[in-house]
Amino acid sequence: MKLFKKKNPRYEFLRKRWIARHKENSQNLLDKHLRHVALGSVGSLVLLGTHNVSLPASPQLALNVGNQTTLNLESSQNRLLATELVDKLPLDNLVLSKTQEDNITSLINKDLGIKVKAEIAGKRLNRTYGLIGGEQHLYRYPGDTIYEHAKDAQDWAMYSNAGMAPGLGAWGYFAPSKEQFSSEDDLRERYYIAVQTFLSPGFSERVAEYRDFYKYRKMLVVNPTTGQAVVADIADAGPSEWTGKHLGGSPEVMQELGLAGGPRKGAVLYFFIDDSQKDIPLGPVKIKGELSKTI
Amino acid sequence: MTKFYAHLTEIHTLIVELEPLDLSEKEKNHLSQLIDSNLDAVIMDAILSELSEEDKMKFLRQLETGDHIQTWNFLQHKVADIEEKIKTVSKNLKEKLRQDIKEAHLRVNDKK
Repeated sequence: MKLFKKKNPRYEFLRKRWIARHKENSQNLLDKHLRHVALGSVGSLVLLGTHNVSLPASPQLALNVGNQTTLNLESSQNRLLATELVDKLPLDNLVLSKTQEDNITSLINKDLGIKVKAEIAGKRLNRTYGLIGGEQHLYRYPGDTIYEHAKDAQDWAMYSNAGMAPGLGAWGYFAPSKEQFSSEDDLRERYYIAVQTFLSPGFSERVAEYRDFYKYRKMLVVNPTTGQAVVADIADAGPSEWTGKHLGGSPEVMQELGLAGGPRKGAVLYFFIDDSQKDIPLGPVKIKGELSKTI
Repeated sequence: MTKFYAHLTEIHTLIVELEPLDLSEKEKNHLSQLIDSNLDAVIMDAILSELSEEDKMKFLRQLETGDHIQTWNFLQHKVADIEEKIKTVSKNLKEKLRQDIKEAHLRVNDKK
């Protein structure tokens, strides 16, 4: 028996109407501005490649666009890292030995070109390999709303469902007002993680010192199954031990790790980044096979 | 990557109007991408229409670097009130898309 899917008439109407609009707008763009430009010139290539003049004709295409979550399997150093990690991780628990940590940080340095450490200035988290769960968006300034978080329509579609956390992050608002909210603050919330700061060895004896150490500290989070990696910052404390999870990721972090779907959790590696030069940007890490950084 | 004009285009009022359409996640994602693609095309047209041929190439090369600050410096130097122009075309397009959403509601209701 042949099965068929029932179509949503409203979706079909809008899909056809908006594809037609886009074709008209794109043709107008090409006719007015690029007709005289030779094929292969930077003008046409930039427009066609960078600015979505090519058409998202099907929902399947739409699922994999934006936010660089797809990896080129043939040349990606991320994929290489994943294959090299296969036999480096414990099978029956998530606690790494010192030797395992050293081996893994060396591999990350080699394959992704990012210097990571399990410990900085004598401080370390309770673990470096654990279960990450999805978190909600954080209030970035007084009066912030979920609507303000979306950069564009697709951003909204991908990340708005997570909603807003009821309270503030561990360090409070990212900025004292909307007017003072900077692009750096924006990225900090976008790619934040929550870690169990309170379980760090020595935390309870030196709370203020550890708080200053952890505030917006950059960490590299790696999905060892796929090699997907993201530079994130610590903007919250948690989750509680009883949840069975060891850290939490913002909706964008989960997306970049390939863990945004289904149960929104998975085992990840997480290490401090040695960012003394302040030149490692927050966001996804995708390294091409020829070792040229695309960060 | 965030688009360089993202701070000028408010889209959440349009997105809210998609919510009652009973869309699946795939459908919502696809329509959202079509909104972005349409917006991108009209904004690029508005900008390029204000530039000379030589400046068009300079703008596109600048855009490719991903340096939004320099891109804005260039545009503001070359085009008066460029931000208002972008807001205007964005608003006009959103109004058309809003009408399309209303029509989608009405057409389906008429057929019932």
